[in-house]
Amino acid sequence: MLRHLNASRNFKLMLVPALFAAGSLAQAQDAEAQFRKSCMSCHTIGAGKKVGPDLKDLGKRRPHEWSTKFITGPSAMIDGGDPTATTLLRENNGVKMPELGVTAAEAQDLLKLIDDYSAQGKTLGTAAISRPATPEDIRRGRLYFTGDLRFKSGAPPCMSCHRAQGVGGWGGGWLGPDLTGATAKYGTGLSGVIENPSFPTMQGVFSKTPASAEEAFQVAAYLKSVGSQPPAKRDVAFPVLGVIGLIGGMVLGGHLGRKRLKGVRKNLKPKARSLKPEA
Amino acid sequence: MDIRSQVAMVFHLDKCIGCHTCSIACKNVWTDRKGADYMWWNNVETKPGTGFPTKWEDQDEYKGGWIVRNGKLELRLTGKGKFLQKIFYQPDLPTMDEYYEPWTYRYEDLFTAPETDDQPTAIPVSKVTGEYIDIEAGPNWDDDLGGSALYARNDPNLEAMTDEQRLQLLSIETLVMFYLPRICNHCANPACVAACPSGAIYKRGEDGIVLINQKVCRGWRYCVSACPYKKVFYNWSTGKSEKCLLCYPRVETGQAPACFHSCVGRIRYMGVLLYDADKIQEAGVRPDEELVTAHREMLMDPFDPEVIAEAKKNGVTEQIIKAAQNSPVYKFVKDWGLALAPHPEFRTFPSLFYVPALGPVTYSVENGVALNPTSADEIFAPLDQARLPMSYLASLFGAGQEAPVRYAMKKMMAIRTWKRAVTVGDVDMQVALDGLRESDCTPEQAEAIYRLTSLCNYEDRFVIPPSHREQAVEVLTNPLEKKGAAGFGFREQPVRGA
Repeated sequence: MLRHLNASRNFKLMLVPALFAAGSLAQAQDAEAQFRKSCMSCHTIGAGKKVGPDLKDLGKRRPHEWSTKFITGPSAMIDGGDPTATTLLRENNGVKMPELGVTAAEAQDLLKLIDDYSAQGKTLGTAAISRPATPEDIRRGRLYFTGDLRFKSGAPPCMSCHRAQGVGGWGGGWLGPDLTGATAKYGTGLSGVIENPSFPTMQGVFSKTPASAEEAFQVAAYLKSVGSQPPAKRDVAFPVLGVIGLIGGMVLGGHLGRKRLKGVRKNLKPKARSLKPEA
Repeated sequence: MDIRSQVAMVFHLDKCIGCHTCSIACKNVWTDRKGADYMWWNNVETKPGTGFPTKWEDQDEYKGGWIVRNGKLELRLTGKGKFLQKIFYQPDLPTMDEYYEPWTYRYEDLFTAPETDDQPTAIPVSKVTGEYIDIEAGPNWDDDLGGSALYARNDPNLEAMTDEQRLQLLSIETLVMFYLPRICNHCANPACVAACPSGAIYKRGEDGIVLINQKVCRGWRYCVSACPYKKVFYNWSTGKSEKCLLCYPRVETGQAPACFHSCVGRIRYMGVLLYDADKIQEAGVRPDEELVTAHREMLMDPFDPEVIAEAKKNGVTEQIIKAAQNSPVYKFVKDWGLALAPHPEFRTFPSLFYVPALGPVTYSVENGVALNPTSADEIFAPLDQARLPMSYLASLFGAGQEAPVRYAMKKMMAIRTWKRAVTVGDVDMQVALDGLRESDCTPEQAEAIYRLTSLCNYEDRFVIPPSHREQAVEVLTNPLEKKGAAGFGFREQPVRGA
């Protein structure tokens, strides 16, 4: 009986760390998913600089408290004139880290993930392609944008939701914003954003079918080439022409159909005049 | 020659009393249904008047019938190219307003209304919407010249008349009117058949009745516009077009159609005509003044051996040819030249002919005593002074030509005068016989016309050949093919001796 009890206790003792291990594994997986979702468009762990700095050994460079504060509220830090944040902004070509809506708890998990990866020497993410864009890159980027060349993953072309200057025809979709000035907003980070977008709408589409680093680089190259052109003026003539065309079409239709049957009985008029004798 | 048989009709307007019994008979048999309640396959109009639908004769409005374009016969409504332009929006469709919105009365209100000081009334409600309706029009709204200031004066046939004639026609002292019962004319060259995009309308080979196949009709309504007599109607409930079917189930069993059968004045005649279908195209492009002649030339003599031989080649049976020889229609139209098709200028060659109505009998009065007439001119006013101007009748029955109308009117007046000389004896017989000769008539012919007009029995008026439906079936299938194959068979085979 006693022996039995002991066995039972031993079993329980073995179970506790197992449960704990499983819990922390799940936590780690969540954190990695969070990293891919929120961070990876601009950062890597150990793979090199992208839009923002490589986060390897972040724990060694900055205290966790500072990092948590920065992750949960970057604008407040930058605008508040935090010296480290200001330096970082300058170092990274003035690209501000966007508000990602990460909670403090999530930020802690992310920092733990970064520390773990750094300690184990693992990498996460790919560094930006740093070679200069060739005309061939721009050409192919345009084809990816318009869908003449399909993304290898089978993702839909950019044009289904976005427009950019010089695409021609109807100009593209109106669901997402005009990407003509995207380079001005994201700078060199654009290809990262394309490869690993942090926008919920795009994630829905691209999380399962991401563009490859090469493809994203070429699309970014194309958008950069477009962005350097002056923006097209909004053409007022076109809608005005449309309204004139509509009115003109209605007038023409009415004119062509002027002999149609417009009702006989209700248009009957008493014909008294014709009954007067000719004097 | 391509001789075909056509069940044809004559309406003797001189006998029509405008009682609408024909319309009611037809309505009760065929169109007392939802969607069909505004249709009057048979209607009776007062002339002068605008008729039903309003001003149906005005083809500038309705675009019905055929016209000659560059020497070719074409539909006024459409052509091969124009047809495609209009297929999804046909601009010449009459609306329900041109007919009338059918209505009934809320009779149950008479029983269910709460007790008040006033009597309950049954308010009129539309049969289309079920809502209260302010009745503004009906199928015979201008009956007996009702509202003539508006309706009679808008009669399209008045266009052909001078202002003086119009004044005379419609001033109260010399007012005149007659009735015009109308059904589908079952034309030899039907515009409705030509206009149908679905090929749903057809003219039956054996008797020329024009029918709409309700399974093929797609409700394009080109027939409604193309028919210049506006005798195809659109059923708004079924989405198909419908028209007079000349009561073919009755005709096939040797009975006259319901409207013919019920006619109180016995104005209606039915008989077979043999016509040469090869002549239709040529006759269709003749100028207006030759149309009456051209139409009559199409109708072939049923006694001519050549015609009989050609008819038999087309499968016209002996009995049909015999019926054609006894046809009252052939006599009225060809032998006697009394009956005329309505508006021949629409170029559809109707199979319905009208004997025009005579004017009222006149008397000379001296010192308050009516004098006995001594000549035809004293019984009836001379044609040039007739209350109903010849130009009006010419517009209705002669494509604007007075000659055929005058011929018929003169002959009928002469026969009346002659008959009066025979029976009453107050007209000089020599004057009467001179009158007959002048109007291209012999006493024998006059007697025959008198008999068929006044003493006609059922068999005289309706000479309907047996239609041999059993033979018609054989054309399509072999009736013996399924012999012995039909029925339920045995549940248990009978066994001999068991």
